[in-house]
Amino acid sequence: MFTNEISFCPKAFFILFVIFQCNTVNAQSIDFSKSNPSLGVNTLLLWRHSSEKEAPDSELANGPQLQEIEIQLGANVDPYWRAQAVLAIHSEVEENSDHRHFELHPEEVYLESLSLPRVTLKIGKFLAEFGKHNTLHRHTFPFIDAPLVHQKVFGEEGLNEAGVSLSALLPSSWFSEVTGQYLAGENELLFASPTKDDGTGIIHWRNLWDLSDESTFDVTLSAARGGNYLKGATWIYDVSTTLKWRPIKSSNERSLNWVTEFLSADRQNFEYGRIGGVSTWVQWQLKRRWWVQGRFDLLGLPAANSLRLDSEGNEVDETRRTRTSLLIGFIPTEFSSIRLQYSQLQSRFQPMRIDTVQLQINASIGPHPAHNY
Amino acid sequence: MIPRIFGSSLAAVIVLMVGAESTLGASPQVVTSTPTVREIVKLVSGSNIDVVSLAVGGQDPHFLEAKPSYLVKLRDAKAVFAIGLELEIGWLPPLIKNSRNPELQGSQAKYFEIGEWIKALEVPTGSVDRAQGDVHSKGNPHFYLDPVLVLEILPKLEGVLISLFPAQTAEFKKQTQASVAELRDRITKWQKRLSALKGKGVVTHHKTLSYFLNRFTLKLVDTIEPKPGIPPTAKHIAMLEAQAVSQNFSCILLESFFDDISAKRLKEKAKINYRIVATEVEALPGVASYFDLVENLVKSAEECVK
Repeated sequence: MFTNEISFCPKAFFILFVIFQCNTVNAQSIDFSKSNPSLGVNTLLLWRHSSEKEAPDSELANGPQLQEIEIQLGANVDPYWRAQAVLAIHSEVEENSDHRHFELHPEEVYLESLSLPRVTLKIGKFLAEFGKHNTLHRHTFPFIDAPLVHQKVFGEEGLNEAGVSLSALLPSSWFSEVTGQYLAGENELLFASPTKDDGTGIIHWRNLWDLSDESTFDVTLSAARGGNYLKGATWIYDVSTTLKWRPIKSSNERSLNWVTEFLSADRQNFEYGRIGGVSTWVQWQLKRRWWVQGRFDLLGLPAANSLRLDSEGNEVDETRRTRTSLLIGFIPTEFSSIRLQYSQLQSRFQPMRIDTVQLQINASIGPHPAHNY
Repeated sequence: MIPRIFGSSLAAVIVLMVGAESTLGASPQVVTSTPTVREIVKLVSGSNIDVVSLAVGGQDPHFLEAKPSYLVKLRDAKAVFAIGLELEIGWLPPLIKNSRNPELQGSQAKYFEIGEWIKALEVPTGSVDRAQGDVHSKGNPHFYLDPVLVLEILPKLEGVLISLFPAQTAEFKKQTQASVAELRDRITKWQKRLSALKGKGVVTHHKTLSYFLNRFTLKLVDTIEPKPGIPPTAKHIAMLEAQAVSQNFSCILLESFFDDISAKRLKEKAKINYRIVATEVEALPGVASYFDLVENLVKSAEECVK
């Protein structure tokens, strides 16, 4: 059951006030219409039908739902900093109840340097530069849901924490960017160390080559280390490759993206501490407004770590899953889309099969920022 | 093990890249958004400075993707020149922001939109919203296809380049003088050649040629797209077929970066000629300079418009 109430996160509004109040000074001398932050709103509507009969949390409930509203604010604070905030409103299920309400979360709120040569310094709460998929906001996901391995390793919100990030372009003839990050280490599935000041360090290295004027190849390596709540260390690794093609002539009529991402986590002191998987997807633009896409997920790598025996000596499927997804997208303009996705989730060792059909409508208003390449 | 391999390979590649930097060519001094802006800048700079374009000829400048490889060109650029009037709004601002080049940021940024130096056509009046399609709120940005407007901005461009590269002042002045003389001469000849077509109707895919047609007194009857940035519908194409008779137009000048499906249909159904034209330098073979670009348009109009 939904209610209309929205829960607010006071911290988010304090941070927003501190950042954006800078733009309201000197009110007598400036044109407000030019100094106000740019404002964009994105809405995701979802209709879902799945054969899965599980707890009706916000991601798994059948039927129509308001999946998420995302509000983006951005402005230069002064010649040295740019402020960006992304606030997300989505439904949450109350504990020990099927009662739902909407909650407002600060998905990203950060300051980014403008005037440092060769490097960008970012301070605040943000989606960590880690692998390929983690930096995406929900409305830019290539499919309606995240890859299986991301859901399992990072949880629903991804690796998204407060911290500091420093990225530099290396002096190469191709695009080569190294990003070092230090985060609070609050992700409960991976970190949440009881030791104070035990944060998470991340190194992310992205290389992109122009194969021609029409195609690029991108290789991204990421690694992270932090303390976990069982007082051990957690390591995470990611290797991603992306091949993109877009013809010069009729460039908005045809294109191809092929992404493969391998993600693995090793959590010391956990009974089943190693978990990993791979996801590969192809997006083919048939015509200007039409896309067809396919994705294959394999969760449970390496295989030996994803199996265990129950008390009777039978194999119990802990994590080994495969999922195949097909999607058709109708994208009238860059500001709206309608996508229909079918997914089939199977267990390799158990007679389990879950079929899911999802229809998503995505609409943006306001000056929506360009998406990452 | 994995962390050690990862760390070692990262360190090795960084060392290799730092070492390789000395063997790389000099960084571009000026970066432009499109090849046409590059050629306009060269009308002043000549070959005295290195000018490179992010886009390549034939790409629709409205819809480029913000490729990270463009950042390699932007990180050391001394200045960036763009068309402006919101033409590159979907891809250039994030590149400038991520360039890590302080010269391109802030109120004193060496980032110049040459569209700010002209009086734009088709500036919308009243409210603008996306139901009207991809309307540019500052007006039509394709002014660079009017050689008279380009002639008018050359002195301003000369002043900016001299302020950026004062050591090249004499060379820039000499080059500008030569370019102005040649452009004046060519404009006179182009106007003479197209004078016989005065008032004739033309259709284009997008309003790319408004300035060119306006300068040479041709008339833009309609566009193949029903609204800016919106693909043509069967209904709109049928309406154009009817217009071919009622409005007496016989030529489609089709920008090279659009599909010619609709133009072909109009040719079959309503006997309307079409020519694929370059609206950017290097968009078609033989269009290598700004003079070639306008010459291609003039010649296409001569051959197509009846």
